Amino acid sequence: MTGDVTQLAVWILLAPLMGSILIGMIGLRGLRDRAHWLAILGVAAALVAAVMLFNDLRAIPNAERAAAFEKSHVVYDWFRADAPTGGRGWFPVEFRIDSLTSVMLLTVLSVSLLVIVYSVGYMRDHHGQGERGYERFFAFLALFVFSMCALVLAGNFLLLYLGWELVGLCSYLLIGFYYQKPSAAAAAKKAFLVNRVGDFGFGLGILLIYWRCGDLSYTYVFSDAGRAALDGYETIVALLLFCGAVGKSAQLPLHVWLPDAMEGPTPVSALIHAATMVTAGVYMVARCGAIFTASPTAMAVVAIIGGATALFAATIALTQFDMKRILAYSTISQLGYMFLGLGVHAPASAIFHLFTHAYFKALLFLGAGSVMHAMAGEIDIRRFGGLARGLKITAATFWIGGLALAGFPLFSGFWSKDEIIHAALNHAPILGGLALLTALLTAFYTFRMIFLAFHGPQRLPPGVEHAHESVAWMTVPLLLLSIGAIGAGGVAMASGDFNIHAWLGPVVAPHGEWSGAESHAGGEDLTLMIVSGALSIVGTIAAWYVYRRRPAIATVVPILLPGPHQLLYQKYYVDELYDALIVSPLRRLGRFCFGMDRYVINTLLWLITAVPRSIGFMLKETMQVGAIQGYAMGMAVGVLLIVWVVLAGS
Amino acid sequence: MPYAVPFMMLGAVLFGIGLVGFLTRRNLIIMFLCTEVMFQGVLLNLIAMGLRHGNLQGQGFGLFVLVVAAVEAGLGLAIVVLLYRRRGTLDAESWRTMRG
Amino acid sequence: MGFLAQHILSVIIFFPIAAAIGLLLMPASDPRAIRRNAFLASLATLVFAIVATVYYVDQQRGPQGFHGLALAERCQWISDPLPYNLGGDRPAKLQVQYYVALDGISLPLLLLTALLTPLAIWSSFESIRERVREYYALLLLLHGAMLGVFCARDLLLFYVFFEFTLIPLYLIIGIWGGSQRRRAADMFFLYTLAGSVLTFAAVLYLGWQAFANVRDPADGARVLTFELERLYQLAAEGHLTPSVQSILFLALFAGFAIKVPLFPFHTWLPLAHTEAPTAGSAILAGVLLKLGTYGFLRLSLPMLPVASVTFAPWIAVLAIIGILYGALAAWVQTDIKKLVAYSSVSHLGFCLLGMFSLKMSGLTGSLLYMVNHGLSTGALFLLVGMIYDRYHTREMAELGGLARRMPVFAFFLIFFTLSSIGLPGLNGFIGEFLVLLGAFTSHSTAGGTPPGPLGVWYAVPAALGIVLGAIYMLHLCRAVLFGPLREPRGSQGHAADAHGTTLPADLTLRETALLAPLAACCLWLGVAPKPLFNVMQPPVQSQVLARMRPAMTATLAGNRPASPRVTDADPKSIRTRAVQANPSARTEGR
Repeated sequence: MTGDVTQLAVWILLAPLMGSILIGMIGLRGLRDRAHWLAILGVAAALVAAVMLFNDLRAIPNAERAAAFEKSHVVYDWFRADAPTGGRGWFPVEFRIDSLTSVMLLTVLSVSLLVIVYSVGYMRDHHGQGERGYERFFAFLALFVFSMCALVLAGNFLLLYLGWELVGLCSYLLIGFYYQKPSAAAAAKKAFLVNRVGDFGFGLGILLIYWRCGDLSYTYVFSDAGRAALDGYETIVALLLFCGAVGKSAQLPLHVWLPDAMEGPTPVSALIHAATMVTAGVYMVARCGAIFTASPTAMAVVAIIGGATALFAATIALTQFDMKRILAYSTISQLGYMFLGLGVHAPASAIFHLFTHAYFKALLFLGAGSVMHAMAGEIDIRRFGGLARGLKITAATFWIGGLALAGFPLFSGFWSKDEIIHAALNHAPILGGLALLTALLTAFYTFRMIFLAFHGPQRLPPGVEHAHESVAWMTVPLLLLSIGAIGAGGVAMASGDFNIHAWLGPVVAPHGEWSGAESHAGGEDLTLMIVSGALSIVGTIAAWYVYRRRPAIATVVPILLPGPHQLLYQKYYVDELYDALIVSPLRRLGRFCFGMDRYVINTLLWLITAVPRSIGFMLKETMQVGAIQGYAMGMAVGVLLIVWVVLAGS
Repeated sequence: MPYAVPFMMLGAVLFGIGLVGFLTRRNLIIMFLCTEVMFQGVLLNLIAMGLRHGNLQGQGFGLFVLVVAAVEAGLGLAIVVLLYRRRGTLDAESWRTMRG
Repeated sequence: MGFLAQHILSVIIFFPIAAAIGLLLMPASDPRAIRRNAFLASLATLVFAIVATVYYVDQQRGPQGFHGLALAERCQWISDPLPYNLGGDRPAKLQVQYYVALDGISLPLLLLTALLTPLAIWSSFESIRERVREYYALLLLLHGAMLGVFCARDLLLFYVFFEFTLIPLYLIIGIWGGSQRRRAADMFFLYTLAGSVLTFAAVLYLGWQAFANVRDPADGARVLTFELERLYQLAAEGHLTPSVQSILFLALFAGFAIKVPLFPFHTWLPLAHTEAPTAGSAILAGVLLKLGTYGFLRLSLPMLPVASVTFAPWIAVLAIIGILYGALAAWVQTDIKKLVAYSSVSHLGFCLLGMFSLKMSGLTGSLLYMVNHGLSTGALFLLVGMIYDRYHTREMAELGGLARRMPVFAFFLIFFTLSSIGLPGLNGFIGEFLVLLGAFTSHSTAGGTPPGPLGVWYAVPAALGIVLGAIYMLHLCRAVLFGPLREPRGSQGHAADAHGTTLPADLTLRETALLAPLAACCLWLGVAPKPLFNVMQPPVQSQVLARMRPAMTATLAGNRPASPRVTDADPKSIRTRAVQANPSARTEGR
């Protein structure tokens, strides 16, 4: 059985990787317009394998699950740190295959497949020809799927880091897909570098784990022995690991790259910067529950950063006009929810929110992409409006995604968000309150965007005559995703292995470290459900009132409150702050170093070499007169001296 | 074997004369001749040493050196002629290109 | 065993040298034949190196489980009874040997050299048009000398090869270099020579010490020998007091630190790199810098263990300064080649940091880092050369958006950038990780190893260097590849060079074939480096760590706490900074 599962995991990795490599090779051969088939095939094969994997895992009897899930599936030896006699041996390429892995795999692969299918329609120009770099795009997407699966399947911290960096690389390559746009190139660089800052901490955390445990395998580190070895260091390890999560999942204070990442093609934003890659941080914290839960400080930090980011990003989203950026801030905010859930000991709920969020946020992004496609690349909601008439499917699916995001009762986001808020209220009422406030804001900014873009009198940007619905390649994924956005909440109410809490239980709470909100799964806290449902409805209605009924309010508020509005509109000036505090000083330091080289060190060198140089000059001037007989005289005197010395010595 | 000493003395005297001549005269040919005198002084010493040690190595080597010296003298004089053609003078002072 | 099996190392070393002489005998009028022959000769050397590897692995797999030297060849080189009665009551003799052998430390570097040189030669086909014969002959001479350094097992032989590498490269930079080539060549030569003269003094002193202490087992004569094995024993047997070791260490340090180059002895490097022709830069970065680190690893550490342990924190501090300083300086460069040159300063800092952690992980990482840096930086210099061949400029301000015109080039530049900044899955990561791991866990005594001289607070600032590394390399990629297309005026991507040949916009087949093997090696080392580890680690243990062990135990375990706290010997600045940054680390130590 184990062999089977390991093999399936290998196939999950190989299928997209092969797809990517083959596209790269075929790209050279000029079959570029068909490149998407390889990506679709690869990812679909991986999805099938992931479903089989899920079934295999389900086949394990309940009693044996905890043991089976903790197993490490070694593929081959990678490299090693210690002497061959030291005994600790190799860092293997190993997988951890358990319920959390399977949930992540299914989420990632299903969304990826839909996004790739969508891209077939999206990445074409008006004549149906693939855009420049068409095959490159699919090669990168397939590579991303591979990397993300590697991250999720990793059975030790090294492999986790590998996946972690590789997804970062794909993100870099895809954000910079339109590399000729300076803003895209800058955004790609920024994303990579900000992530690197987070990875600095992450890497140190891994080193620290190795230092204490002498091993990086989950199987050991999360075992009792490993936890004992980490005793006293949990807080620092957890916080360092969390640095990485903060970078990857765009939490405060490293959130700055995600809005800029919207420079990439929209399917990329949907897949990488909403549904999957940015949730890697959430996955990692959930995976490392054994470390995090041992440190109340770390848990508090996770919860506070999550809660604060959720509110912070939501406030910025209120004022933005770029649809994709609104969605980006909303992603940051929703990721904040997930971390809040993790921090208040509700990891299953966090993963549940990750799961639902993947569908509805991908749906929203793809909807935005559909709008963008129809508007000839325009994405500013001030420049168009009333699109619901022309883009019926897009508008309808966008509504569904919006309702799910806003936590409208019975939509998927409602269930998952509610669980987190519930856990937060139980654990840290202040954070719970903030989360409720954020829910209200979420509904408001979501529907602000929807009302401005899809309703009211039809306005089109110059150059666009009609708002055309997109091709079937794009609308079918939208429809499929909206099924997910409506129904994904069902996994909290299903029974047996299909209930996400029951399924994840043995993994995220094997030692009972996570406690608290787990029992809430059935949704018995009716009051909270009513309150949060009401909040989302209030937010929606408020948005309708402000932007449809009394649009004057929307114009007047920024004028009445210029300060706060500017603060939000300029994203709290965080970018400017970083530039002034970090980037510029570093750059100046670099110039200083280079100046040191040129002036100080080389001057010192000059001074040192001045001694032989001046002696040489003196000799040249005094001795080197050019007359043969002068030299001969010198030589004769020298010989006589030597003779004298020898004779006197003997 | 004390009778080697006079020869050595003579060799030293020849060497000294040659050296002084080389250092004091300015005419290239004279200087060249002085080097030859020094050379003969050394040669004489070689032979005297052979005499002193009672073998023929010194003399053999001396003969060998004589031949080389003849060749070298031919070359040296040729060089002097060439130098004279360049500058039209034999004054050693006129060659100061080695000045730093 | 046949002739080849017995003399494979000599063949490897002297085949290129013989080929160089043969090349000089060819008529200069046929540059094509010269180029072809030079390339074939270097390829043949690569084949011999691969054959040697096969022999080596074969011996390693042998029944007795082998940890030492393989393929040894030795004969007397300069061996005389000494003319003066130096031996006191005994006869005395001089015994300088021609002694070459291979172990797992030299093998990777030997292969790297054997791989890089043919590529460097091939890369010059288009760009070198003058004095073709002399150029290739010098490259082949350099090739032989570099291979000799890695094989030599006699200190004097090592030194001869070590110094001999200087001359060909001096001429290559001075004759075929850029506009400031004379200054660069002089600086390169004098700088390195000044250091290695001191090294030579240390070499002589070590030989003298051997003379005082080593007896020929046959006749009891005193032997003036430079054989490495005997010199290693000097310290082990206590013939070198700590103060003598310190002086010797500093003398060796002078030569190697300049070669590496370690901050603040690095200023010759950017200049030499920038002015050297492409192949010269690639070999300089790829192999010659490794001579310094290899010297530390092969000579300083096992020969002077006590001094190495004593000086390790200081060298580590210099290395860390170099890492950060080189990275920051690289970031502000406008000349692409200079940027890559400064990146070498930063990378070699990592290399030394890992080495002086004196841990298995750090040493392996350091050795791997040498190979990695050779591959990726060598390739980066080749790439820069390809740009220069087309546009005759290396200014970032004049270039931009080349990804559009040169997609294959863009692929390779990004690939090697990623390798250089340590993307997991490529080679750079493993080296970097092990180096940091070594520095980080240097103090730990897990697995029964004696505690090393470094610790956590050396790894932390060094890890910052990784962030900075990403900054400057991505800065380079962005400036050259991305953004709107920008080419120097008049070139239009089909620059006709001074000789009237035209290069296509993107890479030619030859250029692609140059980079592909390097890329393949990067990928191989990143994904499945197990064979290399099996080769490297036993000799690192037996040749270096085992010899360091007594010194480490005596120096460190005795007077310092074995806990992973901040060490008392940390230089003050590092410690105070570290403590401010994280006071908990001091209190939470167990």
